[in-house]
Amino acid sequence: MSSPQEPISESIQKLSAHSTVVEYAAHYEQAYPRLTAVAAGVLGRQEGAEDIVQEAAGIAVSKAKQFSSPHAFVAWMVGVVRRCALNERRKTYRRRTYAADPLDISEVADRATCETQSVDPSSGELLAGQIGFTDEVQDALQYLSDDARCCLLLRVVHELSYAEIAELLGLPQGTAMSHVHRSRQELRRRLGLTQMARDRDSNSKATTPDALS
Amino acid sequence: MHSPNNSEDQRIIENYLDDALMPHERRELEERLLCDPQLASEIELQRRIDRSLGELFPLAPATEEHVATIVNRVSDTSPRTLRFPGRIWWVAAAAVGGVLLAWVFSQERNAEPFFKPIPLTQVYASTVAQGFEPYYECEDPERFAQVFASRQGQPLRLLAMPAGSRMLGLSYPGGLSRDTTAILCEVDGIPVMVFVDRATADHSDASEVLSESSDLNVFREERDGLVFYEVTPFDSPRALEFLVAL
Repeated sequence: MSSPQEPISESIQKLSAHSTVVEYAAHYEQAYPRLTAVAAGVLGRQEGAEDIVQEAAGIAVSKAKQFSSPHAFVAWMVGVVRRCALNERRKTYRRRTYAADPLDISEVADRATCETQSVDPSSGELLAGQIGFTDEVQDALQYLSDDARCCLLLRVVHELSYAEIAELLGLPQGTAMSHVHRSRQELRRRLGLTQMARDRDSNSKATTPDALS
Repeated sequence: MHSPNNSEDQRIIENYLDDALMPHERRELEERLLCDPQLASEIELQRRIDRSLGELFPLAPATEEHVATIVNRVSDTSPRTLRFPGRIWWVAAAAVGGVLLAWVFSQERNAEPFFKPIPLTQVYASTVAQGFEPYYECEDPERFAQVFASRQGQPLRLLAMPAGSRMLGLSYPGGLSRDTTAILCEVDGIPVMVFVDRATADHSDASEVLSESSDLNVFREERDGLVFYEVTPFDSPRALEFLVAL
């Protein structure tokens, strides 16, 4: 509320500035989950994705006055998020060290995979070990490209149309669709193979005692 | 039976998952799903993958605290120019106005004259063609003098004209400049025009006699800082001499 002594033009300027900030806030709040998905897509995991978006927002805010509209601001932020996420991923790879003997870790990991069964191979029903299946999905995602993961998450989790994905990531619509289709097929192929291997293991375990007896 | 390597099946599955199948394709697929467990399990597998993706990458709305932080930073950064005190805007506006005025004046000094002199015989011909009607039938000597004082900077008086000659009035048809004042006279029933302007406004184009006006004569006289032209069919000026400075 402006004071009675305040000139009208000054009040209008303040109102305009306030409106702009509100617009920026609304656009940013709306775009936040998608920006997080882009960060997670590049990182290949959810952990750290929100930190990336917040870091990118800090960078973008300092440039906010260079944008003609909040829409342009958010569009530009997608690029910043991707670069920040790429930097973070590179740092993570450089930091990768083993606190224990890698052989011991792989042994434990193999045991865990073999003993975890998430989907009934005949019916596709969820089993008690679904947590293991989710881990397998997480592993399989690492075989996809950054763009493919981003497109997949925006389509499957955020339910964006291909046109929206294309606009957000600055890709042709056909490319976005192709990324999603190939990613889904690749995940099905990998998880299907894992399932088949697990079936073989469980069959051999089931038959071995009989054979022995 | 479905094969994972069948590209057409893969296309149909993807379109089915995107809900982009034509109605008849969808019906066919749903019929196939009843009798093709491998195809059904592939679609079921994809649904489980999608659920897992939802668990791995949950929708994360921004916290109010985070949005508030960003809003504060945007308001500190983006509208910086809007938070200048009002007087700075006035100073800036005055500076811009000054520059614009200076530019306008400099343009005026360098500008070409916007009035192009017109041959006086052409003005005479068009005035006659329009009925030779004066714009101002001035009967009052004082008002007559004032017109020239204001337009040419020199008051004039019209002396008594001889019999057969009379002034009809004043007109402002241009000629030498946009301020040129014309006196419409009738001498022996023949239209005669006297053009008066400042001597500084004189231009040679004004005295040009056009071929279609070859029966006209143009007489020039300069005095009292003024230039006088009489355009007449007569061989000698018949009205010019009756105009004198006050």
